[in-house]
Amino acid sequence: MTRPVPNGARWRLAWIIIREFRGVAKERRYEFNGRPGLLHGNNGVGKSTVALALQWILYGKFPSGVLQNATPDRFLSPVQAKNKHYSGEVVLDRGGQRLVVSRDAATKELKVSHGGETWQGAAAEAERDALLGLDMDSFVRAVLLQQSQTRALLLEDPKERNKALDRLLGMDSVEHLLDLLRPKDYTQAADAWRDKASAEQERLAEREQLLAEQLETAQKRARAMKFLNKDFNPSGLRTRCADLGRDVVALGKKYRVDVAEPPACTDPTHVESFSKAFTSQVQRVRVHAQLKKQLAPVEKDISTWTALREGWTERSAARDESAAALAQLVKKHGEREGLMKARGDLSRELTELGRSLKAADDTRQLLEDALVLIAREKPRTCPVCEQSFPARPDIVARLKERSASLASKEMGRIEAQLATGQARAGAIDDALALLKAEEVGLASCQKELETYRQKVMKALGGSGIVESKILVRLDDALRKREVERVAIGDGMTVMEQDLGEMELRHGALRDGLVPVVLKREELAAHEGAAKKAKALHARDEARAVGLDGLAAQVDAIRKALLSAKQELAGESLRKAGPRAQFLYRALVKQPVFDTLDIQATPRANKVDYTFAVSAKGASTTARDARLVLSDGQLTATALALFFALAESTGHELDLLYIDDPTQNLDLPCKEAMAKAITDLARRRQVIVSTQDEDFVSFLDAEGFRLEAVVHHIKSWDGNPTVETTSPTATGHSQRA
Amino acid sequence: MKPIDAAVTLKLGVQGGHQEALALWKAIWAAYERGGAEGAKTHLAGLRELPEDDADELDDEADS
Repeated sequence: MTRPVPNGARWRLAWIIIREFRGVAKERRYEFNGRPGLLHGNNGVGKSTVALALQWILYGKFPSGVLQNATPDRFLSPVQAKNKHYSGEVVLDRGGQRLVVSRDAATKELKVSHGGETWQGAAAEAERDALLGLDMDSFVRAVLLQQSQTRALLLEDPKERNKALDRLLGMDSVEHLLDLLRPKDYTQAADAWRDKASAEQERLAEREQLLAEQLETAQKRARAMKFLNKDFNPSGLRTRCADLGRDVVALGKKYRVDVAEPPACTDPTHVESFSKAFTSQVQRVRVHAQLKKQLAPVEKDISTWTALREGWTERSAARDESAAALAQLVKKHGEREGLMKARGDLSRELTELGRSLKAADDTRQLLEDALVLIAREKPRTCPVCEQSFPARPDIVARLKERSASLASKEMGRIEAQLATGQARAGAIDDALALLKAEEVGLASCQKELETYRQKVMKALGGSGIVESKILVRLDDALRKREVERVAIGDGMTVMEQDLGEMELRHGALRDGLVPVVLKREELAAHEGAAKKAKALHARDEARAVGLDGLAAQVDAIRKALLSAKQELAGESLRKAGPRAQFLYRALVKQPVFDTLDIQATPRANKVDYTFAVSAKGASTTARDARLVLSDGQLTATALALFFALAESTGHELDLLYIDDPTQNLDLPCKEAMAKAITDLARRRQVIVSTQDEDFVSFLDAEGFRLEAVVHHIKSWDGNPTVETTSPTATGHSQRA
Repeated sequence: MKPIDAAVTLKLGVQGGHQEALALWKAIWAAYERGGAEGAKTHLAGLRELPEDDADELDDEADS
């Protein structure tokens, strides 16, 4: 049951629980109970952890640039632990009502509980935004005030200053969109479509001209090949191909070859298959023509018979040579019979001479024996005839003379005759051997010639051809075959001429007519494509017109955005103006330039901000604040504006969380800041986080502590050691 | 409705002949709300239809 809300009550921070997050390794609960708060302690003890946890638990993310170069997990995990199980809970109070917002990194779950109900996920986000009346950007501008956000207000670059003011005024979304809304992008895109169409049209026109020129060239060539204009189309091509096909069939008949008519060429794409078939049929005629068949046996006969004629001539010459050699031997030595007879006579004569030689030798031997006997026995009578020897010395002398005569004369004569006869016999034997050898050779030649004669007769198909007629018959037969061969050759020459003419016609068809027909088709196709392209170009033009329209719309939005920005920023500045003026005087205390004037000023295509100070508001004394104020005064001025804008922003969270507000401020300014914050804390929940003990003293002096919950973070060892002081009815109680 | 959306809507709505611009604004703002500046950029880029050859070139130019 939701309790009734007191009139005008807004949400205040009751407490925040931080678990395993940044500077809290375990768990830390910071209670505020809807009161103002002070967190103070030295640098690095975990003060900023509270501000970060507040933002993360409520919104789960940070404005761009807050976590530079670090993924959320790495940045938000405990400094000493690095786990990713950080979580937390923010409890807000509104006149006794509780709004509990909890978030868990491990489950990535946001839970919002209020009035007994709990929402999760997107529903929880919607409920949160509805109850608090602000989104993350507004939260950063109007609740979580970090002095780092004012630094950009002090920059020299006016662009950067303007950006910083945009952020403070919640106009950064406008600037993002203005950056993106560029009419030029769309006019450029429209131009690109028009350029594309124009370039395409130009390309198509060039192509058409080129194709027309190529067609003209092809037609000239085809006319030179005797083609007529009427042929320059698929029908003409079909007729010409059909004519050629019929003619090749007729040619086949003429040369007695079966030829199939090539397929009809009804389309230029059929030319290839037509050509293939035509060439095949022509080749068929060339190979299988009757003439070719006739020629083969004639050439074979001529070849065979020529070889036989050469063989006959060789063998005949060898035989004749052998016969001439034999005749030469006969002429030299005589006929074989005469030589045989002379050899017989000579043999007998030699036999007789042998006998004569033997008889003479016997006589001589006898005389030698007689002489030995006479010399040994000295007989008075002859032992043969028994006649007495006249005187021994005379007989011996006569015997010796006779024996010597026989040995030196008669036997010598016989032996000489014998030697002469034997020499003659050897010569005759040699001649006979030569004759025999030549006769054998001649017989062999004759035999081979005879065998060849039989072979020739068989080849010529005759019989009984005598040797002397062989050559005549061979020459006659060869002459006849030569005549036949010449006749067939003439016929084949004519056939080749016929085939050549066909091939020429086919070549002309392929190289002359086909390119014309193809080129005409290409040109026609191109004209069709050009027509389609024109339709596409019309579509491109429509696109371009649409993009021009978009450019105009974007321009209108841009102008509306600029105007809206000027109005909204101006309104914010007007609303915050009095409070900013008050805070400027309170914090800066500039003795001369006591008036602050910040305005949104329209310029061409942008809205600038003037950040001026003047003496008592006199426009003649107005000066750019940056030229008049010191850095510390500028910081204080920026904070004045910052606080004023935050205070004037309407939402349901009655909380200002001010993180480290005194950087760069001098002591008087810190004192003034403490006074302003204490004053503010009387009207709403202000939580201040600082490391500046001077500033803490000033806050104490102003009485901030009387109403505030003070968390003094004394040290840090992974977890902060905190001393908390809470106000009670009787003063402050303290607990560890 | 956020103040800036309301202001732009009002301005475009009261100007005659800006109905298309108003519709476009609504779409752009919705994309921005959903996806931030990147979301709006993607939406606007989607409207800027370009010939294929020019797309990369003009995108590069736009990015620069």
